[in-house]
Amino acid sequence: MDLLDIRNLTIEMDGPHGRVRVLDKVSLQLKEGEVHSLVGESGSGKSLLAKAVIGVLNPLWDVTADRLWWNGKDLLAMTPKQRRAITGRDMAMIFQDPLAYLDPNSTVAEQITEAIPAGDVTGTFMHRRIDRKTRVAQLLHRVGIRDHDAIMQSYPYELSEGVAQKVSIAIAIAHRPKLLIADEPTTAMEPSTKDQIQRLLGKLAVSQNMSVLLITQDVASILPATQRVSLLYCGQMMEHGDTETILNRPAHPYTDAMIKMSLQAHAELDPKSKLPSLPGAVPTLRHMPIGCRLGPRCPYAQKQCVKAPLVRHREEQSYYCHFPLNEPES
Amino acid sequence: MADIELYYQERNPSPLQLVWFAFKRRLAPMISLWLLGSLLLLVILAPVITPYSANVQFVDAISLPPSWTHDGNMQFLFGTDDLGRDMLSRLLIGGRFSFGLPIVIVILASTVGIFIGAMVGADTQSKLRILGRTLDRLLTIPSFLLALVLIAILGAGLGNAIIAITLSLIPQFIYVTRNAVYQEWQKDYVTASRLNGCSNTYLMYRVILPNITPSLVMQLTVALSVAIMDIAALSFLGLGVQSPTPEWGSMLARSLDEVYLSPWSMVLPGISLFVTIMAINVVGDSLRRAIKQRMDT
Amino acid sequence: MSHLLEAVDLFKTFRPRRAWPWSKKSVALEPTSFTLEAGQTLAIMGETGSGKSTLSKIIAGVEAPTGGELYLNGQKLNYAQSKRRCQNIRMVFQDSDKSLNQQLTVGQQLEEPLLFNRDMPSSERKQLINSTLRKVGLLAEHAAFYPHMLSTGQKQRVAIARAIILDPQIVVADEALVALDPSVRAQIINLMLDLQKDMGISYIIVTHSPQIVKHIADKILILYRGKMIAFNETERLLTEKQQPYIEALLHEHLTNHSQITGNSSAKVTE
Repeated sequence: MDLLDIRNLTIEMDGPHGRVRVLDKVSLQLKEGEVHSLVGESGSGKSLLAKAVIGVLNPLWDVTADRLWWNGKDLLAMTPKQRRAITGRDMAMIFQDPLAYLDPNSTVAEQITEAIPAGDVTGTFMHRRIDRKTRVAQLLHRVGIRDHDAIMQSYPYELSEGVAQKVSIAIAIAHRPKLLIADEPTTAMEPSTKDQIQRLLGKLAVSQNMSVLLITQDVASILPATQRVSLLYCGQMMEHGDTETILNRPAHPYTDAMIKMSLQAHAELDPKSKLPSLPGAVPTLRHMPIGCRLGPRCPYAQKQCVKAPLVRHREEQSYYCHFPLNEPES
Repeated sequence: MADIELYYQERNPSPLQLVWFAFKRRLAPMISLWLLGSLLLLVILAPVITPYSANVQFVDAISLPPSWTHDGNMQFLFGTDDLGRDMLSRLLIGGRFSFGLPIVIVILASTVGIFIGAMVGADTQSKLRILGRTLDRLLTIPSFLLALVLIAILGAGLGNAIIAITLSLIPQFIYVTRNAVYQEWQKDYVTASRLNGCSNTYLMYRVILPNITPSLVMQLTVALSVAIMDIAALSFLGLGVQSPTPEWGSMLARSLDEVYLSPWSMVLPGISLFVTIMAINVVGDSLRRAIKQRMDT
Repeated sequence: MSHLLEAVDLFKTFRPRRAWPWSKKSVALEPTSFTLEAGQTLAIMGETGSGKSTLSKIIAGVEAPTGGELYLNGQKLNYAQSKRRCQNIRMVFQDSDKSLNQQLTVGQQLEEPLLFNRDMPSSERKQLINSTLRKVGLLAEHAAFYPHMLSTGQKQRVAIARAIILDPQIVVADEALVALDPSVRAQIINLMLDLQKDMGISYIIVTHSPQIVKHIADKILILYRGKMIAFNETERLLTEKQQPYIEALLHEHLTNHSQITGNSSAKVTE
């Protein structure tokens, strides 16, 4: 059974200019221990999807889905209290700017201690104290921080970007969640730090048997350990499937463009030559195209694209496009 | 500009207009705004529309209850007080001091305060920092206490009360303006304008001022309700408006003696004060909400 | 022949706020010298806190250097000469959202540098604004828009339009490309390259992305804790053996990269 099973999730909100569909029938399946990358530019609704999963959306928005299942249990049918229990126990989230999410007024040790579940430490008062301390040290080791004594005593502002992100990961994994949602954890980082964090996330997924849902805006920053990729554009799912297949033989024009536009692909080109890019800009919420929302920017679009394409499958990938690329020769 | 309209939208509302649109959509603040508007109109027109002069005493109609009660008289819509003076006239004329005067005071205080605050906030060489710091210390004293101290020095009376309240409100305006200007000054868009070679006056009026309008408007509403309270309180204590000039605060103070005999003489000015201050607070609060709403979307 | 821009021993120290007057000053930038030719692109690289932002801010005139000289076309450029600087050196900021004034229309913001640096009637100003907007791939109609009505990419284009409207010789871009979406980033890089070709602008870009640097930079300046440790042509820095710190900055991600595109080329030839 899938750990997380989302079918046709739709989120609608009432904006100042009428009703807007910010997520349009998005499906996503996540297996236990799987690393899944969700790629989308800004405005694609990728963060909304994560928020819908942990249940922190604005209550005024309409959330409908054929299925929003966690371990076979319907999340939408639950009371807020039941849902919070599941979210608090099994899910964790880290963000782009760790310093904004760490409490500036308490030390790293205090914040990690707070995140350790109370049931984990037992015994007398002194026992618990020592036990907690060793656990904090363990957690810091697990996220690759070796000089735990110094880090434990420091306040968030004293940490560098990378270490702060590692600390926030340590806090996230303190209660051994089944799913870690990482919302653009490396976007603003410099390359070496970025690499460290990415490797760490991949390693943790394996060692903790934890699923990771990585949200990123660039195919270049998906984790090396990613098994499956999904691409979102303007609230619509474009393509999802096995990483290898998608990166090597993208079916959707958007995937193709995203791969060609990634920073890595630039290195192949001559210096100062034109970079490949999609024309135009991401449409605003008020001017969403009908049908396939990529339509106006898609180089392969035809008349048919004003009708939203249904899902199609090809080996290890599923895509939503009338005119797929890289069709196998029959 | 070319004549072709590419997009169907017919106007490009500015951010300030958007705040107004968000404000307009809600009912309570709009009612409050209308209330304040009509109050202002009444206060301005008070000498023309009052049925009697505020200080004429009707010997045959002493402590007459309002007209809608059994003993009331249509001649005196809101009844009369213990000296036989028409309550309606007194309330309207009193409104000039209780509502009109605070508006003048706030305009005075804000002009001075915003000017000084902008200078201190935009001062990069910290020449004026000491001034700002000193005025900050003044903020630790409640404005009413400050006004009382000033009155103790200057002596009781309407003119002195106005001076005292104006002076006690100025530090708040300086504080708010200085902080807002200082915060904006650090932002990239001001730096960008600075790199455009803009003069300091242009930076202040065209670049920074529109961006701090929301916090200034909010401070204005807060200051207005404080000024109303202060002037009513001073008059209540007999330090502001002197009798027989009507003022809501002094009317309240006067009615204390006969509250059991003629409750309306206390209730009516009390309600006027309450409604006015509440309307101002509702407007201020919804303004803050509208601004926040615009920032969020 | 003199260089377009020449920096001689630029350095910056500052005293932490509220410190004692006799306490030690901390060094943000040690004496740095470099040159920039017309039509070329210089990339400033380094870790966080290496002083790369400080250097770019000194060049753009946001901050005054503690010492050292800057020569523009062979003539000394003082910090106080704001007129001459802003007509020749312009800056594009990291966050277009924050660097545009939310309360003014795009047209009003583009008019600002013209008001203070050009003596031209309002009709000419309007014309110049229109043509500049078109140059950066926007429409004349966008002049009436407020920033909040534009997308991120369009805002960045407006920021670039504001930079080039005075026909400058140098544009300083401080991390202006990193946080953008892939498609927008590619568009903006293309735009910058086009403008360089058409107008002969020199760029000084600050970034930590080796791929972007490889693509657009002619020369690279590498800072390490406020100290310049390398200044050379991109080609040579890339091909010759370097210190580990420089290697790490320039060649990060290459492993990751071969995983993505390397496989794809293999598959295509199959």
